[in-house]
Amino acid sequence: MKKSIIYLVTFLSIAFMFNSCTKEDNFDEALLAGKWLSVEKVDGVNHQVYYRYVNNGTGSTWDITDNVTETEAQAFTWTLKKSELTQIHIMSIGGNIPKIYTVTELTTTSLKYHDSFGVNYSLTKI
Amino acid sequence: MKKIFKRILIGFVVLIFILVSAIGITIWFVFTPEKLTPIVRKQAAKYITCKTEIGKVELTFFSTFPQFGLKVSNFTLVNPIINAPSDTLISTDQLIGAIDVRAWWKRNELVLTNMQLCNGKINVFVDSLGHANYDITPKDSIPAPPDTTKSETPFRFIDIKNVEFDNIAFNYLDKTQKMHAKIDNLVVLFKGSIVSDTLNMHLNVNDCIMSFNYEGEDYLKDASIKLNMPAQVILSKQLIRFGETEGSINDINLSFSGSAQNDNINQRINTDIIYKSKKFPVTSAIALIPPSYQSYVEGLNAVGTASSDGKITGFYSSTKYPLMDMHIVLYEGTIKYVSLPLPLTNTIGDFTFYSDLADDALTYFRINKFSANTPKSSFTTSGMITHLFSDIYCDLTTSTNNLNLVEFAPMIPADMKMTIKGKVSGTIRTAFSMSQLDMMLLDKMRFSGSVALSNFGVLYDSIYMKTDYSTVDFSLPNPNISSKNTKFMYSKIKSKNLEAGTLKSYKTFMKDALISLETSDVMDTTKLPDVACTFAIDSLAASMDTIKFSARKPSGNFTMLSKSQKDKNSQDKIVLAYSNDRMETNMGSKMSMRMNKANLNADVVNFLTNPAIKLAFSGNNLAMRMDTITVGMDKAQMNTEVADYSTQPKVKFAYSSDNLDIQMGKNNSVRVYKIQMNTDVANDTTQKDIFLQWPVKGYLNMENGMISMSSFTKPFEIPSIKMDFDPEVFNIKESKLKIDRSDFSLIGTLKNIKSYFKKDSLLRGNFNFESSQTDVLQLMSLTSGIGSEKTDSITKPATSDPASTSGPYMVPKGMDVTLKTKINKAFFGTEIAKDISGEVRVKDGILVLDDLIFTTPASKMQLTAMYKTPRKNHIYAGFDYHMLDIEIESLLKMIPDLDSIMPMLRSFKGKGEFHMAAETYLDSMYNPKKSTIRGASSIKGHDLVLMDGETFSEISKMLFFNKKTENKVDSLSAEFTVFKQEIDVYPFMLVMDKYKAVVSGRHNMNMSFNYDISLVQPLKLCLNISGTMDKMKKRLVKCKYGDLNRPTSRMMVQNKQLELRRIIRESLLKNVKKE
Repeated sequence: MKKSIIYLVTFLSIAFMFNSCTKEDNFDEALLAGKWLSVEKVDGVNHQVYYRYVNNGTGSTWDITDNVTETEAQAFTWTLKKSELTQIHIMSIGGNIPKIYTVTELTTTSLKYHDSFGVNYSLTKI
Repeated sequence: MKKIFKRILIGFVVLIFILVSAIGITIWFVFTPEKLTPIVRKQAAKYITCKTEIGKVELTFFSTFPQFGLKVSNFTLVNPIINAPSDTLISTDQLIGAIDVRAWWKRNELVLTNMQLCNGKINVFVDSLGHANYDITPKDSIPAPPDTTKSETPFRFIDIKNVEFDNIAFNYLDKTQKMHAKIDNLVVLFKGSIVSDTLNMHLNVNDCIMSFNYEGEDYLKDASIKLNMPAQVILSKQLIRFGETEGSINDINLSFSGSAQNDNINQRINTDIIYKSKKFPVTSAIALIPPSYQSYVEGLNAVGTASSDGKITGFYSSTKYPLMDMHIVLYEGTIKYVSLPLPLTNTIGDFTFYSDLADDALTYFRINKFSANTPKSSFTTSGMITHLFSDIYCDLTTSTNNLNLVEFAPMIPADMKMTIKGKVSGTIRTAFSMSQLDMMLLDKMRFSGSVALSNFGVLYDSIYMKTDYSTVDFSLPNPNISSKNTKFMYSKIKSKNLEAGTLKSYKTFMKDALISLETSDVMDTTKLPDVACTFAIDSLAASMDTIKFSARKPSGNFTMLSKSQKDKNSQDKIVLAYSNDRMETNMGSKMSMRMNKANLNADVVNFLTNPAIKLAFSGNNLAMRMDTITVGMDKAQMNTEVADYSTQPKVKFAYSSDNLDIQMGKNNSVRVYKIQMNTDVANDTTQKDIFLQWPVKGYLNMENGMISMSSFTKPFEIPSIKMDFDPEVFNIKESKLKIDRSDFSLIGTLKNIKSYFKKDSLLRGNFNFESSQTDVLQLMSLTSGIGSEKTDSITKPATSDPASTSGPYMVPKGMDVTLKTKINKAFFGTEIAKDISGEVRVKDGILVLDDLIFTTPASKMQLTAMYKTPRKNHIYAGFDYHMLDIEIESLLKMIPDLDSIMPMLRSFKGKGEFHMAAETYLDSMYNPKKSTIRGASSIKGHDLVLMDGETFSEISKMLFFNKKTENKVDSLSAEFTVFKQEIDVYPFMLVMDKYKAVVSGRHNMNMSFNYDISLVQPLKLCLNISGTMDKMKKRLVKCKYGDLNRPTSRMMVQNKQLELRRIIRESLLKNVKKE
């Protein structure tokens, strides 16, 4: 039984090795700059979450549904390489939280991305 | 013998008979009136120029025995002069004259043995030009040569043995002298003799009615005059020397002696007369007062007897009066005077009047003694009254043993609305002039005395004063001045009890009081009076409305001096030294103060313009109460100095006491065993805020204090505090406090206080906080909300129980305060931390626990925490936690939420290294705002034991773990992050026996998860589990990760993840403090 499993795993591994690579999209990070609104469901409640991307690679986010204003927004840094959007959220106390997203759409009015766990985000430029 | 006498007697009788017969024949038959009358008329015409009327002339012998005389009946001399009241000079029914002819003839002596005028009139008149009606002798036709010889009479000797006027009316009118004398019923007996030019005479006026007017003034009016006067008259000198003369005017009998001389050269009469009266009725004497002087005694009704003696010396002329030195004695009498509402009885007086009626400086009326009784009182007076003719000046001393003031109350003007009662005894001296009295020039007048008041009471309008017994010594001016400014008055009051006040408002009661008072002129309205007062009172009580004050044995002195207008360097000044044994005061039922021995010294300079005040107070057993606030203290000392009051007040205040006890309501109290405070305040008038207007500097020392407040369930114990402060800096040199389970010492400096209140700067503090035991949550509740704006502030005071607060803890704003802590044991709720060291910093609404190192039962920890309260509904909480050697089980116990994030940790046992940083914003109920949750953690462990749990069994079964495999994990190294509701577990490798597995995934706050478990050794087998714990999906999937320990085996994704883990871990480890 154990051997069978080993063989199976070996077979599957070889099969994966021959998978072809998909072509990765390039997005213009200049389109990202600005203020974006995302409606996100939290505990069944739609929250209006704002993101502001600044050209210098900094950004901030705030949730007005949580009674947070832009002046009270939390900071992050971002990079957009091809379709990979990396946001590193910076804690005031010290410590960073990296978040990696894959951008699927970036226009002057719309931004869509998802993370590796399949959570999708759709943002509208304000 | 008998016969011889008989014959001699018979012979003598016969001789007399013959002689009488011869005389009778001569008178009746030889010198008959018919023969004599023409002779006399003829001779009279020779010597008298005026008209004469001579009725009948008879020769007399028997009536003029032993001389022959002439008796003329109806003798009249008429010499009319214009304006004379009568043409008749002399008119008499009978004129008898007898002259010793023999003496005249043989010795050239005029001996007038008898001369009688009966029932006649004599009118003497001198007109304004000096023409006299008695000038009736013929003038010499040959001018007389100048009289160079001594004046001599034609006779060598003149002897007037008897001149008698009987019922003669004498009228003398001299218009040159403006004198009019009128005498009726004049009965005079005159004897005299002239030798050379000296007349020795004796005049006896038995009775007459006399009037005398001089210059229009009636000096006598129908006065009954008697006179018995021996006298010597030197005619050449026109001098009369009175012998012991007795006389009477009405019923005033007097005797006198002396001399009077007519000085023609100087047109005056020189007098030197001594007189003495017998007792006479006062009314008679008053009646003799000339009319123009009657106004002085108008309204006076004096009954009684008096006597007088004295002398009159000097010159009498039209311009001068002789000097009168009159001594008057008043015997038992009664005086009523319209201005005096009560009669004076038993009046006894002894007076001296000394005057020339012209010289005001010379004149005086001295009351040697005057005593009188009123119906209920008696008094005596003595003294001097001078300047009678100008501004009358009285210097009187009055004594009384019993003066009943009720009698004198009617003398007080009704418009003064004053009533007075009681008895007075003592002596009063007054010296004043009438003009001073009229103008109330008290500074010029002299009043002094010593009086005793018994059952005294006075009510003036609504102001009253009463005393059972008091003595008052007073003096105007002050004879024993204590300073040059209090010359006006001195008063010393000694009272057994004294009550004063107003009927409706205030009242003062003193017992056994001794008060000395000196003042400057109180009538001077241009300045406040200078006052020097000393007092010693056995007990004092005062009340005003609801304010009551009482003191036992208050004593002291009070001096108030006003600035002298002459001395520019002088100053207004008040000096007070006060002490009492016990004092108590109340204001209504809610405010009171009492103290035992107290001393107060006050020194106020320039109190009218720019007061500089010095106050020094010391009191023992002081107790104050205001509503529900009570303050008590022992051995209190307070010193206050205030300078530049009107411009920029500077206040120095020093206070110290023992056993200070302040109680505010039932639950708030401050008790201090010893407190000492010294402050220096300089008013800054440019500031608007009252705190900034009065910046304070000084120091405070306190021992063994205890503060209890209703907002705190436990009292604050303060073993000691020593601090000094100024407007900018609080320097706490020593402070020890105990609050329930917390005890700590706080030493350090608080700066920028003034700037903080001016909003120019943060309040900066740097303190060393040392504690053997601290309840952190309790201390946090104490400082909650300080400095927050109203909108952010907490509506109710914080309590020791955080759960009971109505809002979140608000970090004080506008300050930057650092506590360098050293805490042996700290309580965080139920948790205990030991050996805490590090900094706690509060900066403008931010609370930072900076690199706090402490030990808990689970581990030694390093904590950096931040708590910000920008607003009440947006609170930041963040921490950076490093536990370098912690039991994972204890870790989960300490941070239960970690179990939600990494449920697999429950399956491990053993020690590890844990780093975590997290932050979130909270609402006012401390609920996290999920969109703001951020966190990152790194955990590392070795030789962990994998607990044999149900989940592990399932997983190990799917991954074909050897059943014999020990549940031991060689190493564990993992990072995870929290972002909003997502907890991402970054790939970490578990090494267990011969198995290696890589685990990664996501955990959501809703407890759903999605994990990949990749077995990389001994074979590659990957499993995905997802869903929830109740509904878990497990499936084999394509492997994402290789052996993390072998770079060659890592995949692209894996490298990325490792990079992220590095970022996470390094950002976390950056804050770990190296030991």
